[in-house]
Amino acid sequence: MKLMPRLLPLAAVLCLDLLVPAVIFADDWRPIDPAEMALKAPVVEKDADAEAIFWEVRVDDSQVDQIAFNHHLRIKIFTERGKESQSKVDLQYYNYSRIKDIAARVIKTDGTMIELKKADIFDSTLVKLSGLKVKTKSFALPGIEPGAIIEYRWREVFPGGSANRLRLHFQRDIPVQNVSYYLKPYMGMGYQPFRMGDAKFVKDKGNFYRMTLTNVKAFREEPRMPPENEVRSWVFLYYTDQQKPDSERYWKDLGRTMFEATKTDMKVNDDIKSAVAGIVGDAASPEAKLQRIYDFCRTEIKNTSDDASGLTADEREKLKSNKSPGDTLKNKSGTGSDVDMLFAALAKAAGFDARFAMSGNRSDMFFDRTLANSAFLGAAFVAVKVGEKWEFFSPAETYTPFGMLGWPEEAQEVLITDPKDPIWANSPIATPANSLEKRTGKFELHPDGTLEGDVRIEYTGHLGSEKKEFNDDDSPAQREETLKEGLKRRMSTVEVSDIKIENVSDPVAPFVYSYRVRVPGYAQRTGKRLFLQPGFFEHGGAALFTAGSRQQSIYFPYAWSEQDDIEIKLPEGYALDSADAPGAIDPAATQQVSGHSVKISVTTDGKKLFYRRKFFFGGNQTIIFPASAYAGLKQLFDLVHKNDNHTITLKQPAATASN
Amino acid sequence: MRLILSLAITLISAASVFAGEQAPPWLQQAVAMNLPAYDKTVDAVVLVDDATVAVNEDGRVTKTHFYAVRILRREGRAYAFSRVGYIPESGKVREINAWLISSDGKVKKYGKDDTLDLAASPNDVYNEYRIRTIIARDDADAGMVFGFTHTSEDRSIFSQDDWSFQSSLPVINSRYTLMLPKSWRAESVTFNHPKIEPVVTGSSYTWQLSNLPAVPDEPLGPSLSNLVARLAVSYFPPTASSAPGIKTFATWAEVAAWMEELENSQVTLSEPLKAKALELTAHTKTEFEKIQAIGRYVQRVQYISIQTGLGRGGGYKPRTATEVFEKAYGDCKDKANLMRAMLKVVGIDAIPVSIYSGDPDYVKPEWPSPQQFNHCIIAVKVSPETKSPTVIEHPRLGRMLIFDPTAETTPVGDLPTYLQGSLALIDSKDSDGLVRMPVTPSDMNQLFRTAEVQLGSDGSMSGQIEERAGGQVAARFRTEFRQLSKSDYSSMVEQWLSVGVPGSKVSKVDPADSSDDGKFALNVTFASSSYAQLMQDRLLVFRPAIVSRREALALSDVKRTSPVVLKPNAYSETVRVKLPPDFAVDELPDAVKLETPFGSYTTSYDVKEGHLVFKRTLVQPGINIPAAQYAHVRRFYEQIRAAEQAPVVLARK
Repeated sequence: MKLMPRLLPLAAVLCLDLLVPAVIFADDWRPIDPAEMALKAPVVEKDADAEAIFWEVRVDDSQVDQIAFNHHLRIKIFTERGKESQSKVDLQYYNYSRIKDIAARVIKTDGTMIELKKADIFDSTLVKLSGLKVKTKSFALPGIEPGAIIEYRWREVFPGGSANRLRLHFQRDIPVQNVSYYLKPYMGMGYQPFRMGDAKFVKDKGNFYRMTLTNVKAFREEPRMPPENEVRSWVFLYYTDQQKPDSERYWKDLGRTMFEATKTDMKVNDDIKSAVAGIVGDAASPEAKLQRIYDFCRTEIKNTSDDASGLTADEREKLKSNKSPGDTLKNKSGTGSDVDMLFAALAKAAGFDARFAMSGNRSDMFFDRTLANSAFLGAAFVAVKVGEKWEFFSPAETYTPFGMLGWPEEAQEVLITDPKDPIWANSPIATPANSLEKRTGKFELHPDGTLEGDVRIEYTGHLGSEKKEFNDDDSPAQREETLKEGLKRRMSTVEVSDIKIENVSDPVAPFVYSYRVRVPGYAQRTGKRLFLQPGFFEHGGAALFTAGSRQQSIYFPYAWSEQDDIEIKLPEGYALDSADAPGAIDPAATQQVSGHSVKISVTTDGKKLFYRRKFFFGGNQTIIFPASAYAGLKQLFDLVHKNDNHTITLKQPAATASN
Repeated sequence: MRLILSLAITLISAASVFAGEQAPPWLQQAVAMNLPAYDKTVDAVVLVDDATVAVNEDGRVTKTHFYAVRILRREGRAYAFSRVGYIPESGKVREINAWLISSDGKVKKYGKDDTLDLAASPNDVYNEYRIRTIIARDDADAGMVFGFTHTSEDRSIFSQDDWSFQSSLPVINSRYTLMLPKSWRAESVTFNHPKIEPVVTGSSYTWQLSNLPAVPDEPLGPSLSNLVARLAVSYFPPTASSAPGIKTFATWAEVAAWMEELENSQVTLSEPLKAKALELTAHTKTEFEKIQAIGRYVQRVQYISIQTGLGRGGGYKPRTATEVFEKAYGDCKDKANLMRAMLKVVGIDAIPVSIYSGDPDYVKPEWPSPQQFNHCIIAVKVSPETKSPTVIEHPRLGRMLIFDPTAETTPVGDLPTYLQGSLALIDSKDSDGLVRMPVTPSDMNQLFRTAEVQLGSDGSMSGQIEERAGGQVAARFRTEFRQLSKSDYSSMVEQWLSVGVPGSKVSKVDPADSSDDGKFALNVTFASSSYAQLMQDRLLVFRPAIVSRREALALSDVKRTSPVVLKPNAYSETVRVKLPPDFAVDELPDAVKLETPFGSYTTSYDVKEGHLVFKRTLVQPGINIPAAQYAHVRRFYEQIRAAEQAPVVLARK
């Protein structure tokens, strides 16, 4: 999105208290429109329990030494639930900021008005530590009831604060009929709206600019939605002295500056030069050389930023900081950033062009280079030129395999620093095959329905990284408990033994579970039949999507795949009865986004059953879907769930003969 | 709040001072202790837990606490903290220090600069009670010993204290010492353990236990306070006049009289309050309807907690009824008091009731103390005309209807499950002891479910499910209905249905909350394209228990150490399935009939006129089952689980 025109052409220093908007904080409240009192149903969302009639914030950044916010809210209560959710107000602040001029009132349905008394405002210190205090001013609204209007306002002052890089949020937990931000800037200011429609700042009274949004829906979280910054309505403010901000120029300047700033961080000294030969060894291809350097940095250098480094907070504090990659190499330890810079230095020493690179962080928001502000670049790593192509590496992410970035940095525009002409490139996105959950099981089914056997599961790629990150900080006993709890959630009668958990903190090898399992009542038994779900690894799993409708986009952080190979020895005296396999989901039918297939076969003597399942999702680089695609997506996952729960019937031959 | 805490913890780490420190001798001794072997799932072991409480003649109490814990595995880092509460108005924390000793003997000391001062109840609008804490979690690791000592001072209004000899962790040594002025005496009671006799030296009393095993957390178990050894002490000056600032309680009657004195003066009336009470009851015909009308109104008064004057008994004294009425908010005791005042206007007497909310077995009759309570409800004096399952007959106070004005979803005539059967105190000088709260009959707390569905020959299913709930089952459903927005409630119903019928589409969700008669109804219309599985176009297999099937076994562990606590539960379900005309029943599961002391369960299957009628019933009383009978209870639920998973097989005609 293009930058909107700046608000003020020149820096203006306005530091007069006179400019504090007197109207808002006069003794009298703004009159209540009889229509507001008469309002019986919400305007913005029909089932809302409460709705803000207006929400106004005056942001006064005109003084050089402080920023002040004057907040004012008027809310209509429609239901008991609305009464409960809006009855208490907590205004949190720090001891370096101030909250004052709190006023509140309730206008009851019969028109009587109850003002909040000063004595009913409580000032508490929530947390106090060595000079820092987190405080709150709290009050309960008196006489609140369904049909009432509540109204409150307060002033918040941050000495030393400014509006630069400030985020203005336009959505609340309840719908709002009219949201207005009034802004009095200190100097030239730009702003970037997100999901704000056509709303713009327009000139208002008293050197304020106003931006208004009407009929704003409440913000609600939904499972598997994009990061909040990608779904909420908000505005980013920043200082600028440019009449017409030029984003290309901005990034070019930043790319040059960062190149200079990081030059010494990846400096190649004699130690690096002599080390690299040993590290690269006989590797011939550029990829092989880089992989050896990458694995060296992950396995031989202790990453002190990693929570599983074994360092306590104290020990981290004690560590001397490295001044150069040479120090990192010598000390065999460094922060995550040190590890990345050592990788860059070693790559340079091996003859590669290596640069400091930056991208957005997809767990926070999706980067767009038209947003000319470094605040949106939330990730940094190393770019290496291989042939004509730039490739990206971050060995600081210990468990991310060679050739991959952490998922938040995938599929992002990347700024590669350069002394003259910084380069834009796109970071790749890992394929479903890169993150594989490979599961094998060899079981025996007993006539009473008990399933017993051995299991091995390997996780690679992002799945492996997540498993390692989750487990590496736990004790071995806790890791086993985590595994057991996960299994019990699916199969409550499960008994697990002989657990082995391998490569938990190994940067290179896949994360592996192996265990023996016994599940009484796994297959259901009737008088003459046994009902068996051969898809053991999906048994008892819940459907992914259950809601009938959807408001937000659907977002999967990364693509993944699953592959199951199961062998089940069937009980003596039982044979398949009308057995079949579920249908498949052809990747072509999903534009290669997903695919699912199950093959079931039996040995000729009918004693063993083989079940082979394959599933992938996120193919064709597609991991985000608009809300309009929800029905189709739900249908897909419902079908996968149904096919995974496919049951086969076993029958005792004698009984079969009688039918 | 979590964010604030993490910020503060980060700051603590940054501010920490290192090294060269010496641990105090008591802690060094603790570090040197030889320990027995513990199960690999035990996080940590408490080496020393030693509190000394010194009581002054003027009622000032100084408490010194020494504590050391050895961390056995990484998860035990969470126990590396010190925490002491205080009320700024009446007390203070004089000193708090902690040490972390690594396995190589290095010592890190934590002091004032590492101490967080926190609001104990940040969700209250205001609560004076505060906490000082040192958190060493980020520095700690398996093999280390964390120890602390703190000294706090308070001017308690009570001459009572309690001590828990352990939490869930095993303990090597736990000791509580009470130092009294000369000629004072102490009495103690022990809970969950044979009586522990103190060692008395002069006017100093010491109670001690050693080598206590870990208490594992088990599902459906009693609360920890009913499993671990606890001590309650009361101390007395030689004469009441020798310590006028201290309130002593030797009997429950004394506790009740003290509570009554605090509460009675707060039953104030104003003209608007009187008018409201009269307005609410204007069209009522019976005593019960009057109570119902006022009870409903008070339950809707917003629950807001503002706790001041705690050091002077403020936690037990309600605000005046007129103030609560005017502001239309208050906490449990405020609500009980307002209801009392409004009932008074219409000529009905009521008395507040002190109770413990959350564990019916928490209050112990052997220790007369207001400190055993955390909640306030009301007992309304009723005539014989008022009949309700929540009426009790008090030997001195007569017929009393028990009601909780804070529990918004439980109407007059019912009582929340978590209060039923509890021992409680009616706050009247005529009350000579605890009374047992009523337990409503299981037929009042029942869920009736009917499903009328049609099965297609392709496996599709469509139909309606209707639920009718009463009593506390209805209260639970009502809570969900009232707490969730309309869209969230529908989502919850969709999610519930999707467990039994994956991929189902819900076309209608129709809840009906009838609070006055304690009922709640829900009608759901749904359709699923693939409920039953069609096999080779010959067999059609489906489970007739469509929703709320028992899929999981809560008692999943094979072994058990603590009793199983079952809450009362009863349901009755009839599912009528219209079968596809081209299929006939090939196989039905066997009917089940289970009769045990801890519940009965039945299923039946009947095929008639193209329909399958499946019925299931469960009646489970509220009961505590000893661990020795665990295998039987587990078997009971395993059989239910198997019965509800059992499929019906249809074959193409």
